[in-house]
Amino acid sequence: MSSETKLGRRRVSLGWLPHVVGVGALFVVLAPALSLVATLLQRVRLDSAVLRALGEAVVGSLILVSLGLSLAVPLGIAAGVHVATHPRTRLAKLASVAIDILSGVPSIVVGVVAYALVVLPTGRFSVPAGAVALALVAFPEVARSTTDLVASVPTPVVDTALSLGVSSWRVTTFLLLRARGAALVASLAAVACRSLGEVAPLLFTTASGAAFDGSLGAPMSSLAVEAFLSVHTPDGGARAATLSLFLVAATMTIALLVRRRAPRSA
Amino acid sequence: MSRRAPKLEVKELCASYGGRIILKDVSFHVDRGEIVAVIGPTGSGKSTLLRAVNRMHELSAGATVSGRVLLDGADVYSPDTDPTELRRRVGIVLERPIALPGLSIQRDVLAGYALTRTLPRAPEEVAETVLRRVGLWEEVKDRLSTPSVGLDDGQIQRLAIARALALRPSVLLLDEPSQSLDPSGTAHVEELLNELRSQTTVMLVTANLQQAARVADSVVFLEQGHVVEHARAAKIFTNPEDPRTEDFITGRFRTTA
Amino acid sequence: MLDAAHLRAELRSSVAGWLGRASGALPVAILVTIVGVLASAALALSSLADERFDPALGRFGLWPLAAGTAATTLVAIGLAAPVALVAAVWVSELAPVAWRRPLASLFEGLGAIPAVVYGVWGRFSVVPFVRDHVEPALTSTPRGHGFGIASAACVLAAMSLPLIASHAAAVLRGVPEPLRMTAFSLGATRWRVVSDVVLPAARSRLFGAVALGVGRAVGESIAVAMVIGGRTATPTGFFDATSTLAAVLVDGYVDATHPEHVGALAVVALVLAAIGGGASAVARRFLSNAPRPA
Repeated sequence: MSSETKLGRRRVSLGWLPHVVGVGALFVVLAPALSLVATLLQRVRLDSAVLRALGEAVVGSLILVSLGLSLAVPLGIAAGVHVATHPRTRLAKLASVAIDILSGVPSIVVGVVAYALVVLPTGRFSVPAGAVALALVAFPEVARSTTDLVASVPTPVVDTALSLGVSSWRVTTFLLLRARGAALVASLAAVACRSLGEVAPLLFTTASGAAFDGSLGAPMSSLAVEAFLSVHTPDGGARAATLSLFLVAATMTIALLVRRRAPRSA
Repeated sequence: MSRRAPKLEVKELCASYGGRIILKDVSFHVDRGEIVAVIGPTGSGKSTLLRAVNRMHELSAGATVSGRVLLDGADVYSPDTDPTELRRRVGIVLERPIALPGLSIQRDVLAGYALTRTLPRAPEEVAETVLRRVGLWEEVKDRLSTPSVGLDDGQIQRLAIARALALRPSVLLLDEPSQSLDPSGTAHVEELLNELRSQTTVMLVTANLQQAARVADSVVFLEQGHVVEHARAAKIFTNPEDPRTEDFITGRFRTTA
Repeated sequence: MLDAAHLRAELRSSVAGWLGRASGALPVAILVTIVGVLASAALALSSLADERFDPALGRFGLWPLAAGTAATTLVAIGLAAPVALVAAVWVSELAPVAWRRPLASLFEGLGAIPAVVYGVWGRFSVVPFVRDHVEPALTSTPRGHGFGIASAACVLAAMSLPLIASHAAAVLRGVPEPLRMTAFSLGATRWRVVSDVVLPAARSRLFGAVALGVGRAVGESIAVAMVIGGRTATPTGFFDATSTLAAVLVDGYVDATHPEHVGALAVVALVLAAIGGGASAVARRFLSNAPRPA
């Protein structure tokens, strides 16, 4: 064994310290969620009153989220596509900034504005008011995701599509639906997930109430709003905890399912 | 302090990535101070072989490697070996090299020192020496403090070689070093390799068979992860033993005769 | 020569053009509407320069609310951001390879939990904990209810941890692999690769991730409202029932009838929109300088 090429003994460097610190930080990040789930599980009670409230709330949430998304998704995709495909026009740059700002506006502000715009003139809480509020919250997210998706298509693919000589509309549709279809669905699911958990936009628009009885002009309960309001119910938190647990399960499931496909949203 | 170029032996090296086997029982040796060229079709595992010699292959997620690589008899894969120290002794220039962002040309060339918190005796001299050796000095001597990311591909390629040389490795591994270079740049690199002969043991992956013929002492022909033939350069290009070698070489390279 | 197909194509493309421009104008129109609605209500307000926010007395100074927001946000982010960043670095760069994806997914999953659930947890677990253990340990004259900045900061921090961590992990994943490989090839240890190459490359985008976290924390109304106590007096300590800019909107908007009261709340909403929108726009600039992949 020649000693001319010494490869060196393995050094015991700072090796273990970063790991201890890192795992510690990881634990701190995860610990509140553990406490949260434990708290909820402690108070969950599946008696008939709670289950009925849960059922009404689920139906209400489904209606509101579907209505809100049916407004926000087409408009959001249209806006997002426009920004992505006209990068140099002043309108598109303005729109891009507006979208960025809108996505940071707190949802309570949106709720307040929707109250002023819909509830005050019509004089009552209603389902459409809530749908409008949810749509206002969801719109910038859909638009931003769409822009990022279209922008993430690699240049060679874009060039190939353009070189086929079809109209730019066709190219955009192709890029969005074929090249990024799965990711688009995933980001829409993520937006739906977020809408499911919103309280503030609904608090002053659809407020809370009985089950959906077919009339759109009345208040209606939804999962998140009911959870918020029922902390005061004198049932030891059973209703709040059950609704919250359902929300946790639903949102985490959706989030984990879509994570594979959604783009790294910048 | 001079380090003698070591003898390099690869013994039954196997490597896989993502469940797919890339290298199968690769064995060959390189005498000290000699240059071996690794040739073969795309996907035959040449880059993986290179990266396995200085234990870079194992850094990729899903990569496994087994076998032995001996430098003067010492196995780099033994548990006693410190991989980071190894990589200073065995330098590598990766395919498609990059400039390190946020660094001036001067600091980029000397990055190997900064990253290991060591300092050469006379940094500017070291930088100038290696930049001259790769033929980059004249082009950058007036802008050593400008960002290295501003260089073009050919300059970055030569910068990366200089960066590796700055650490004075006793073994140098090069993956397609002339890929982004024009003929004069290529000539410079080949001249450099000739200079390195006897001080440094060199392993060179190249798709350019003429280059292999000009520069290498011995050649390894790799196909689908197997060593098909390993012979002296003169022999392999004129009278290869294996028909597969002959098939690969003809059609790309003909002796003038 | 004009024919039907040509005319149809022309019509289609000009309609498409109009639709496109309308879609582009929409976000701007929405933003303008929001600001307009709030600003017009805010005009009713005569003065903000008051140190107390007490609608019953006709006093609408925003200082107590701003102080509440500042205190909760600073404490929450000050606690959460460093921890979240360290955790993200460990998970993305130093953890065993097989654990990285699952842990990163876990961060994203936890970040999806709605704020109201954190509020429920806060009300049932954090508030009693603060009341029974934290406050008595830290002060000699405990208020005895557990609501206040301490609880709110705790809930906000808990919410921000997975959010910042998942954003940061995504940023780190975006650092190009050739950078790391080059550093390794020069003989750097894994830790040096992270500290000297990966972190500097990701620095401004990590800052963007934290900025997003700050923006979300400032605008968080529901979870904070559930644990902060809902009084609008200026807080004197961490354990006083108080409020924040966002939480006061939750409590009072519908009940406000007096135009000045409404106006004050509209101003609050404007301020929140400005901070949240501003933080988001700035953060996006930091985060999104990824060029189109080649």
